[in-house]
Amino acid sequence: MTPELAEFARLAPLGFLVGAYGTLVGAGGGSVLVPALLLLMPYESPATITAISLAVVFFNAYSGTIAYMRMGRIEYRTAVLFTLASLPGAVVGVLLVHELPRGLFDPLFGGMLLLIGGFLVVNPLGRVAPVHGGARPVGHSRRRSLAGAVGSSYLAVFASLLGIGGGIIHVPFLIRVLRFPPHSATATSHFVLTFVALSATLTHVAMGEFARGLSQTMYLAVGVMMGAPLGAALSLKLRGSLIVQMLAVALCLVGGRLIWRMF
Amino acid sequence: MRAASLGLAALLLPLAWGYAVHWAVERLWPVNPSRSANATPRSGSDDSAGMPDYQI
Repeated sequence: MTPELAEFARLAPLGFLVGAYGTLVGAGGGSVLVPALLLLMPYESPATITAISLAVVFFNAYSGTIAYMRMGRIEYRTAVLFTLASLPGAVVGVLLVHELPRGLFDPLFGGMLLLIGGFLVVNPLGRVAPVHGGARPVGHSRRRSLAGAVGSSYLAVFASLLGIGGGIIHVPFLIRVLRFPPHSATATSHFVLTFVALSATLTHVAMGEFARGLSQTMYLAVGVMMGAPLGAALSLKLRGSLIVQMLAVALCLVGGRLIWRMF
Repeated sequence: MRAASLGLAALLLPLAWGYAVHWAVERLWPVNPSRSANATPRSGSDDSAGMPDYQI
């Protein structure tokens, strides 16, 4: 077996699992992929690993979005609004990441993500909102869409600082703050993630951080693009609370990794 | 200086951009009143799969 084929046999199944899990929870799977790649490719720099992960997140989100589009689960107006709101933040985050004192921010961010993740594991959906029969005031809806646009914009900076696509933060924001139904939140987040991950990846390319890792990205991309439709199909069979709990595990993973990096 | 400028941009740009994008989308792509009125936030309910008409 040639080295290339051996690497493909190692990375494509990982991509498949990441694709299925990421699409299921409405994230790109970077939270799982980065620790796995750090273990599998210890010779690569963290910057290269982050760049590979973001590119794979793009392929995952792209494939998952197509699957969700076919299911008719994306609310396009909201998705386009949040995508446009997120794009500059993703670029600013990549530029800002080199300027941050990591020793201060990593434990701070890590602790915060661990707290949110733990909270969501225990209380995945929060207070059950009363099901209204009639119309809601339009102003209320406008306020929520404005909050969603501004919030998505900030979350994109934050996610980009962490070197992730941001689905694991965006989905809880949609569900808990904007009161999206979980299945709608995962599909809409995936649509947003496609464009955010693409812009972050292009920024990494422009900054020369993608000089290595192209072949590994392609091997992983083959896997995620096959796993993503499976994740989208599986999500129909799972309860919303379980999806949020699975997402919370990914949040805890990222938080734990940030704190671990201190030692 | 560069770090301070980027930090300030990271604080202010998302707020301004979020408002601007929301303003533009509200005008170019107004909410469909019938869909908006019927949209019900069913957060907390687990039976919300396949709910394409949710619009905020």
